[in-house]
Amino acid sequence: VAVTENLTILSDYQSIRRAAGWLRGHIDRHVCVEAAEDFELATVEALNNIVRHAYREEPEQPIFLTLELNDAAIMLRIVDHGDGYSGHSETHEPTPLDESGRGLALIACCVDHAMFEQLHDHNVTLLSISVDRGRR
Amino acid sequence: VVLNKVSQDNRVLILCAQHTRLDAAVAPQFREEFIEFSQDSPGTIILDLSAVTFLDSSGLGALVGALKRTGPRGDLLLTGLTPAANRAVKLTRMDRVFTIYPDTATALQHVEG
Repeated sequence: VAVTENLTILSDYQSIRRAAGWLRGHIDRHVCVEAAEDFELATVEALNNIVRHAYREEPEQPIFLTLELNDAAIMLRIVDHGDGYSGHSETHEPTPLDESGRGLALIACCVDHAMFEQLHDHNVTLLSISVDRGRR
Repeated sequence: VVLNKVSQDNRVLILCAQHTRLDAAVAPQFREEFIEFSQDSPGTIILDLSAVTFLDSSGLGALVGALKRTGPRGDLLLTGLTPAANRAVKLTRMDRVFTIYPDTATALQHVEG
């Protein structure tokens, strides 16, 4: 049985916290704590990148989240209308003393599949984990 | 307030993170407050992170900034990492960069040792 939930937030870091709480409210009963924490971390990193790179920290811009839970997987689709960010802004591995540049590496570690797509007038970020990975 | 000064003597300044989330929303304030506290630091700074149950790359960046700020005069010792914070540190291999102790008492033993 698939369940779909939607949320729209604005492009600021406090709103990302709201999205994280919304996400955990839906996924915590489907997967173990560690998998839920990983998915939250990947989601926050993806949203940070959208606010920071796609919208260049311009406030009041919309970000649309669609969460789908089914028997096999948890999938999150994030859509923004910013520019310039396609998930490849962190092109090199940071040195140990760099203060940024670790977001994409965290996303890669925390989900089974991550995809960033830059389309004509919007960008799509897809994150997913299998329910098996996070079975309670 | 993101950071609270727990104690300070002529060797060690102990700070405690007050928020459950060390993320992009509070990282700039963390940096500001750490700089302010570290100006009076005797050298070693112990940073208790036991309240932090969510740590993202922005928070990690703020911790790296704190490490660099402390570096010329002493050591930054992180203590009390929760499982989620510890996981973020390990996934980014920052456990090779930070000096980490399970709790503040153990870190103090190291300083006094």
